[in-house]
Parts: sequence; C-alpha cells; structure tokens
Amino acid sequence: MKKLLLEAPILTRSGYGEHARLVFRSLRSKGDIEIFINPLEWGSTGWISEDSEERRAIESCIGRFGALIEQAKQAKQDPVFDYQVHVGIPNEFTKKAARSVCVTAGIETDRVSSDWLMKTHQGLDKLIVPSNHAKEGFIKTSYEVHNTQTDQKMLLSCNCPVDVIPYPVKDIKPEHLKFEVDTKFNFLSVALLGPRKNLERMIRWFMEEFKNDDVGLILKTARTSGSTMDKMITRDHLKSTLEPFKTTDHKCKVYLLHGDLSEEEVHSLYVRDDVHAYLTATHGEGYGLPVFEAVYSGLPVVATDWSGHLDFLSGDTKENNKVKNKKLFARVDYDLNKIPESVIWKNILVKDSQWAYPKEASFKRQMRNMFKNYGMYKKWASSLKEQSQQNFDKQKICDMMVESIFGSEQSIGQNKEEEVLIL
Amino acid sequence: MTEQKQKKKILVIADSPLAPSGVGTQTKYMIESMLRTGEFSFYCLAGALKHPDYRLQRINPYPDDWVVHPVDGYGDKALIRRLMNDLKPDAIWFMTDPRFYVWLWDMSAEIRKNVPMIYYHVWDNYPYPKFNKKYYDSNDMICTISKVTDDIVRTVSPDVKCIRIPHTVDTNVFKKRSEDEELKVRKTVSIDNPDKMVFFWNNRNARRKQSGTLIFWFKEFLDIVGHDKASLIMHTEPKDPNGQDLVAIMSELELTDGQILLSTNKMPPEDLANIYSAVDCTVNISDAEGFGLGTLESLACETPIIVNMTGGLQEQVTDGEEWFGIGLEPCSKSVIGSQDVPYIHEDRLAKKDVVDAFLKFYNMTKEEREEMGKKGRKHVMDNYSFAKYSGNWYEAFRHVFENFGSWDTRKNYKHWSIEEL
Repeated sequence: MKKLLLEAPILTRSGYGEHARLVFRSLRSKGDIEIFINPLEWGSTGWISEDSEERRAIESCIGRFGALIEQAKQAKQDPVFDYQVHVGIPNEFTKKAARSVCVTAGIETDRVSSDWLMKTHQGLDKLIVPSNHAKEGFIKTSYEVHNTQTDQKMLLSCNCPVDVIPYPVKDIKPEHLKFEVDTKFNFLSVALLGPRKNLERMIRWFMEEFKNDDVGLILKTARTSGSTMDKMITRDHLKSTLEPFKTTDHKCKVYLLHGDLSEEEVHSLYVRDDVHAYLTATHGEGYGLPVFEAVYSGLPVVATDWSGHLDFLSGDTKENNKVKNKKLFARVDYDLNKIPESVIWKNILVKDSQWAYPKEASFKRQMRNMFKNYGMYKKWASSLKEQSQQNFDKQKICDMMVESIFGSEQSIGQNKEEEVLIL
Repeated sequence: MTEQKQKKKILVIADSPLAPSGVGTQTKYMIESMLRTGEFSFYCLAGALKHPDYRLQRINPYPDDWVVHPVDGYGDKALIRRLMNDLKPDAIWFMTDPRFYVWLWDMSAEIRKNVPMIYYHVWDNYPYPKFNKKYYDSNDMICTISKVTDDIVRTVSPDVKCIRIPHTVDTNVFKKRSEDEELKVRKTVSIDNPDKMVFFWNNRNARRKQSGTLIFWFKEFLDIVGHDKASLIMHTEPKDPNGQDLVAIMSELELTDGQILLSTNKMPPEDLANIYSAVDCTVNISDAEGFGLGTLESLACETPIIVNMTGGLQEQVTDGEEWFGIGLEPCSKSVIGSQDVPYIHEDRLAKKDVVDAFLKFYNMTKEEREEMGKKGRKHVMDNYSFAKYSGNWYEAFRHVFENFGSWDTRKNYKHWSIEEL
C-alpha cells in the first residue's frame, strides 16, 4: 500500500483545519493508501474538542506517524513516503515524498510572495486552491530576480499546475442556540477579529446607517478562541469600537456571540428565523467559508464584490426567457489599493500588494437595500442555495480532490527534476 | 457482588509533588489523602524543576494510580491536548501563581467543554485584583489557600464556585519534640547558655522576606537586652541571588559572635521540627505572604510566632479571639506592581513595632509563652490538620463531579454566550 504523509493543522479550529479535514475525508474515500498525519498548529487557534469517528480516525493516523518517526529514528533513516500533502501556506513546505502537493487557501490580496513561488521550483508538483481568486494570485504574479550564479535577471513565476477545488456543501443538522434578540431584522457576520475582516469599519457603518431602525447585527467573533479570556478581550475591543455611538440614541443593536460552537451550532445561525442576511465588509477572502455556509444555507449576502467568495455568489437566473449567469448578492463597490504597512507580513502579505477597500456609501446602500427589498434578495439566496447544493456536492468535490492530489499514478517518481533558482 | 466504582482521574499541573517546595508539598498531601480513599487516580505534570530524567515515574504504594510525568515549566498546550485525548481525565487540577497558567486558560474552551478546571489559588494581598477576573472566570472551581485570597476571589468573581482550603502541616512530624532533642538544638546555639532566648526565621532569602531588615532590627533589640541574651537562627541561603548578602550584613554589624546563626543545609522535616520545637519563637516579617507555611509548622510544634498581619500570616497568629504570638499591623501599605500585576499592596512593618515585639516576647514568662504555644498547636489541629485538609479536598472533588461532571456527564458549563454591546 502506498504511504501518504499529510502535514496539516488538522485538529485546529481554523480555515486551514477545515481544509485539512476536507483533504482527509477525500483521502479516506480513496481507500487504498496508508495515511500518516503530522498534526500542525495554526497560529494560536484552538483545537477541536469533540470526540467523533473522524477524530478517532485522525488520531489513529497521528499515532501511525509517531510510530513511523520513532522507527525511523531507531534506524537512523528518514521515513519514506510516496505522497505528501501539505495543507497550509506554501513557504512552510519542504519536500518529503516522490509526489508533493500543497493545498493552500492562497492569498487574500492580489499577489503571492516570491517565497511562495520559489516553492514551486523546489519540488512542489501541484498547488490546490479553493477559488479562482487564489489561483490568480499564483499564476498572475511574477517577480524579476537576479541569479547570482549566472549574473542574469530572470522572471520568477509559478512552476507547477494550480487546480481549483472548492469546499463542498456540508450536510449538517442545525442545533439551535437558545437565545433571543430584540431587534426585528438582523444581520449575521462570522469572522475572527483582524484587519483583513474589516469588522470595526463594518460595525461603524452599520451603526450610522441604522441609527433609527429596529435592526441588529449579530457578530460571531473572537480574537483566537472561545475561551473566557478571549471573550473579555473581544468584548473590550468591540465596546471601544462602539464608544462613539454611546452618547446618541441608537435603535439598532450589535450583539457579541462568543464561544466554541460545534458545526451544528454554527450552521443553526444561518437558518434562524431572526437572522435575515449575512454581512461582510471584508478586504479579501481566499474562499470565505462562513459566506459559503451562509449561501448554501439560503441566507442572502451583502459582501465586497471582490476575491474568493465570488466563485459561489453567482448563479444562473432566467431573465426574459434567457438564462444568464448573474451575481446574486448585494454587491459592495470597492477600490483596489495597497494593503496598510501595519499588515505586511514577511513572506506572506507582501509590500505593494493590494486588496479591496469597500466603499462606505455602497456598503451602506447595500445594507439598506437588503433591509428594504428583502424579498428579492431572499429569492436570489434560495436560487443560490439550490445551485450550490448541485455545484458543490460533497462526493463530487472529494473525487476532484483525490484526482488532483494523485494525478496520473504513473507520474510518481517521474517528476520533473528539481529546479532551484539561486537568488 | 458490589459493582466497583470507576476511579476519578485527575490531571494535576503543579510543582513536582516529590519536590520539597511549599506548592509541591501541598500537592503531595492532597494527592496522598485522596489516594487513600481509593476513589481517585492522579497523573501529575511535575514542573518547576530541572529534571535529571524525564521518564514517567509510578509512585509507591500506588503505582497504578499515581503517575508523575516530569515536564519543563508546567507543560504546554500540545501536551495537554495529547493527554486530554489519551488519558481522558475527569478534571484538571492546577496550582500556584496565575501568571504561570495564562496559556492553560487560553485553551480553556477546549478543556472545559469536556472536563472541569479546578484552580488552587493564592493571592497575597489587596486591592482586589480585578485584572485577575479573566483568569478566575475561566475555572469551574477555585480553591483558595487563605481568608484573604478567599475574600478576593469571591469579590472579583462572585459567579465562580469558591472553597477555602488552607494549607496543612504533617502534625505527626511537626509536634513538640522530646526535651533531649530540644536540648541538643539549644546547645548548638549556645553550649554555655542553653536557656538563652532563641528566635527562628525559616524562609527563602528573597527581597519580600525582608531578611536583611530583620538582622538590622534584631541587632537593635540585642543592643537593648544584651548581645548574649538572645540569638536568631536563620534557616536560609545567605548568598541567594534573589536576596541580600546576609553574611556581609552580619559582618558589617559585628553579629558574628553567636547573635545570628545561619543554617544553610537542606534538612528532613523531622530535623526542622526539632528546631521549631526547641526555639522560643518563630518570626516572619515578610511584606507579602500568601500563606507562610513555616509559621504554621512552628505553631504545630507549640512555638509561638511574631508575624506581619498580612496575607495568610494573619489567620495563623489569631483565630479572632485567642493569640498564638504577636501580630504586627503594617505601618505602610504602598502599592507596588509590574506589567503583569498592575497593583498590589506591600505591607511594611515599622522598626519600632518589630523591636518592641521582640522585647515584649522577651519579657514574657516561660509559662505565658508555653501557654501561647499550646493554644497555637490546638489552633493548628482545629483548623489546619491533615484530616481537615483531606476532608476539604474530598468535599471539593465531590462537589465538582456532582455539579460539573466530565465528558458524557459534563454539565453546568455553557460554551457560548451572547450579549448586547
């Protein structure tokens, strides 16, 4: 049986954790490979605490990896794998198998770093990304580099195929949280605190737009985890954002929903009677998993009209007896501009890269449109829900993932020779 | 045939229970007393030591129920995750300064979904540390070691279950010793004058313990009564980098003729009990003290104490009616702090009060001192005995399992909240 090394933050409560579990499910469905899992951390995000059949299967693969490493230590040899799947950011990839694939969310801006591109010259056989936006970040980026050995200038660009494999629709039975909000119309937003999600500006615009309306914004957010400490820090941060609105009477309300919710509980948020639309003023998404969950649950969406989430926010509609593909959400106009200096992150978010800045007037107008013309948006959402169930069917996505990872079986061990650019 | 009850597995994170530190000793006492009930098993992450060997140790006579796992620091998230999955403990019990456990509370959402967290806590002083609320609220139960800590936790986090479990001493070891053993100690102090009054100080030589101050002020006392009339034994490390150079101070003050005696060797509890029992009085003028185990050991040996009325010391020297020595009110309560601890009182004693207390004690009759010592022992037996300590812990664990459960029976923990901002 072929041996596959899966290096991934598979037990973390993060987008990459979710991505890794999708890869694991796909690999399990193939059946004729032996999976070894090296469980990585993902920043300071928490780990899943549920005990389930899948968790036990993951643990078993982790145990198998530990035993193999121990054996290899005794034998003073590196363990040998036929395949390697690295789930995470490409600059953390090091080749460890005959065929190596990196599954990454890509970048939320308009370009990837030169380090990421270098990895495609260092033994990476394929990149798998969840959206066309993420793919473009790889294939449209290039850097002029200087080869110190030949003293020549060269163009560094992506040197391996990039496949787009989106997330699948999940069949989750919602488990409702027992709470009531006292506003009649409510927006929902699910995101961790951080500059890219643009939560603070979104909150301010919401407060200004709905000053005199019976409208709520339920924020399912946290700094990194569902801990009590995190709740207090998150609460303090959001309260300081809302401080300027304390002195005036506002009819609208912002609610903080915090905690370590199960998938069933998170999915219940999208189908509550008192939650009407999903709201995001994001600067950019590799995919936008919560937006996707909202879409396949039938919740209308207000979002920035740029980046990864556009892949699943369009659908076929009939207009004048013609079928047209149309964006079926409340689109927020934006300007594409450089990311702030403060978010530049070595080898990840590079200087001069750009992301979207949603326009205030457009954002406010689209929130208002959603509130006023809810019927139309709800109709769009129902259509998107139906189409996403077909387009992002779980089995279909898992099959695509397997096919993309393994490619042509004959090609194993016949990979192109490693190209190394010496910079 | 009766069905055997499943033992409750407790994951302990603290100083090594095999180490002689106060935290290690209290951890050991808790574990041993619970193991004796036959209802528990313990897996200890043994920290705060540089271990020569990191292999697991099974501790006799409970090799199946008491495992010690040496770790650096107090462990880390990865280890806790591994143990949560492999060991499936019914509760996590951890002890000592909150600053050591921020990482653990940071992952409390993962832990508390399945098992309760029990924190054995000490906080030395007021003002109420509201900055600790985020830590306190992260536990299912907080056990407090002193009346001061107890009041602090109940005020700062009134919603968290709180039980006071003061420290204990082994009263079978720390007790009045035979006259022969006492005489041996007294002769070491002064071969010619075994009736000389002897004071004892048993502490780490650290800044807050005021070791240098004590030497200076003890000299002023000797200047009044005569340098041959009393001695002070200091059981400590005089060159501790965290404290003052005590040898230099003794030399500077010319107290090298038996006025101050340094005891620097580590010794078993039995030998320490011989000293407590032989001396006339134990002193602690520390400006901050969570509990102060040394003075409790002294009282158990029927030796009265002179202490600063701060932290846990104040509940030892009096039960509110009787006095088991002399309690000195601080003359200043400055507010000190750091980046981690923004504010806390530092209770300083006045020189005059301390010197007067030495004089007062010196002028008491032997009978008065013995009477005080006997009452001190009774105070220990009534409030700080092993039996009381084990009973408290048994009750605390019973409460935890009945009210909070674990894994399939987990209850009274809400893993989410919603609030209007």
